[in-house]
Amino acid sequence: MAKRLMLFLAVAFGIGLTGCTASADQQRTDLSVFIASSLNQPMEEIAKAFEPTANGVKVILNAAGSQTLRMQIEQGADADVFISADERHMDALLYKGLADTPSVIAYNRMAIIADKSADIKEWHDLAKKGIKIALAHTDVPAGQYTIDVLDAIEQDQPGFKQMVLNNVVTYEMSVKDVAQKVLMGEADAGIVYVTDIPLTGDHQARLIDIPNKYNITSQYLAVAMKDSKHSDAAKSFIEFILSDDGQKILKRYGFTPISEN
Amino acid sequence: MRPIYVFAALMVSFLMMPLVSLLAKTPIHAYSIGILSSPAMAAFRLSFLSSTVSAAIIFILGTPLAYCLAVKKSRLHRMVELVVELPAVLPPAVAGIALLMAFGRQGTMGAVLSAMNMNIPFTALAVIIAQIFVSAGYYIKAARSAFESIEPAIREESLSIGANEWVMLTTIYMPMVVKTLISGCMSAWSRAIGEFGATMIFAGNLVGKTRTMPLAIYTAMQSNMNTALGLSVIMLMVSAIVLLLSRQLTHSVS
Repeated sequence: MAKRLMLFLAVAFGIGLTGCTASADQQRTDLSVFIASSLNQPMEEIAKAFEPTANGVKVILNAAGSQTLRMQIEQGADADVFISADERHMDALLYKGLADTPSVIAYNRMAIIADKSADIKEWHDLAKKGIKIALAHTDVPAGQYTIDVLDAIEQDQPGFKQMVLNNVVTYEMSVKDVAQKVLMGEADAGIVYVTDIPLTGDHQARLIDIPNKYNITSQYLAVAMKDSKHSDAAKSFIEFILSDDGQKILKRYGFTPISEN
Repeated sequence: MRPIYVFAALMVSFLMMPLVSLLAKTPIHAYSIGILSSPAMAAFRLSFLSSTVSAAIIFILGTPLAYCLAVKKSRLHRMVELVVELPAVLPPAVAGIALLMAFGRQGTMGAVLSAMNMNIPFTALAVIIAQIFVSAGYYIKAARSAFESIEPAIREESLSIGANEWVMLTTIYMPMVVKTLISGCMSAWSRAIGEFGATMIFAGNLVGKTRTMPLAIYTAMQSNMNTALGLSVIMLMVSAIVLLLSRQLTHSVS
C-alpha cells in the first residue's frame, strides 16, 4: 500500500515538474516573446492586435533588460522570439548560433527626464552641483547609450561628463527604473529613452530634448530563435510588428518607425 | 523503505541541490575574482558594516519591546505583535515601496526630513533602514519567546520588593537568556545582510555607497556570470558560518 502511494506521488511529482505540457490544448500555441523592457507597453498592445490574426497563438511576453534576457536564453530559457534593445546582445546569440538573421523593428533615442520641481531646464543643467541623477548601468544598453551621449557632449564641453557622473546617486539595472526614480521624485533627473517618459498622465516630470548632434539612434532588433518549436508563429509575429499596424502602435508610444529613419 | 524516509530524503535532496550546484558550477578562479575585485570588496564591507549596525540598533530598540510583549498581555499587544511580524513576511518589493512612501522625498516623512536637511534614499542610511525594517521581527520574536520562558514569579517578586522594569530587564531578564538574545541578533543580522528587494527600490545601486552584496551579485550577473557565482559562494559561506555559530549558542543553552 505504502509502495503504491509512493509510486503515485512520484508520478504526480514528475507530472508537476514537466509543467503539464501533455495536457495542453493542441489548438493553442504559446509564443514566448522576450522583449527589452523599454518595449513593454507597445508590445502588449501589438500582441493583443496580433492574436486575433493568428489562429490560436497566444503571445506570452517576458520583459527585462536585454542583457538579462540574453542570459536567460543562454541558460536555456525557451524563447521563440527575442527583441533586443541593442546589437551587442543580439550578436552574442547569433555568434552562438542560437538565432537567425535579425530585423530592425524600430528606432529610439535618448532624452532627459527631469522632476518639474528641480531646477533643470536644459541638458547643461545636468552638470549643476548638488542635483541627484539616476542613470542606467553601463551593462544595460541604455547605460551604454547614456555614456555615448555624455562622451559626445564631452567633445564640445570638456569636464561635462565628470560633473554629471559626480551627481549620479544610483545606477539602475533597468532603464524603466531610472524613469521611475524620477517620476517618484526621488531623483531629480535621469537619462532614458524618449519612450520611457509618459506622454500623458498625472506626473511631475518633464522631457528635455538632447540635441541631435549629441544624441544616438538605437535600434531594436527582433529575431526568431533557431530552436523555437513555433518558428512559423514566431516569424509571423515579427512580420506583424513590421506591418503598418505594428509600426503605428510603436510610433504612438514614441518609437521611430523603420520607414522614418 | 518507510515512506517517511523517502519523503524526508526527497525534501532534503531538493534543498541541497541548488546549494551543491552553486558550489560545483563555480570555477575556482571565480573565487579570487569575487573576493579580490575592489567593487566586490566595497560591497562586502558595506554589507558587513550596515548589517552589523542594523543588528545593533535592532538589539537596542527591540529588546525593550520584546520584554513588553513578553510580560504584558493585552489587546494592544496583539496588534503590536502583528506590526512587528508583518514586515518580515512582506514581499521585499512591498517593503521597498512602503519605505519610499514613508522616508522618500515625496513620502509622509519627506517634508520633515528635508526641513532637517536629511535625504535618505540613495544613502547608506537607506540601506540600514531597509535592513532594520525587514529583519527586526526575527530578533524581537526570538527575544520575546526567550523572555516568556522565564518564570513570571521572578518578576512579580522582584517588583514587589521595589525593582523597576528597566532594572528588571537589564539585570535579571537579559542575563538569563543572553545566549538566545545573541542568536536572535545573529538571525536578524543574516536576514539583514541578505536584504535585496527593499534595498534596490529604496536605496538604489551605487558602488561603495548602497551596492550591498546581494545587489553586487545581481549587477554582476548582467555582465559576468563568474563574478556573480564567486560572490554568491562567499555569501553562502558567510550565511553558513553565522547559522552554525548561532546554533552553537542556542544548543549550549539547552
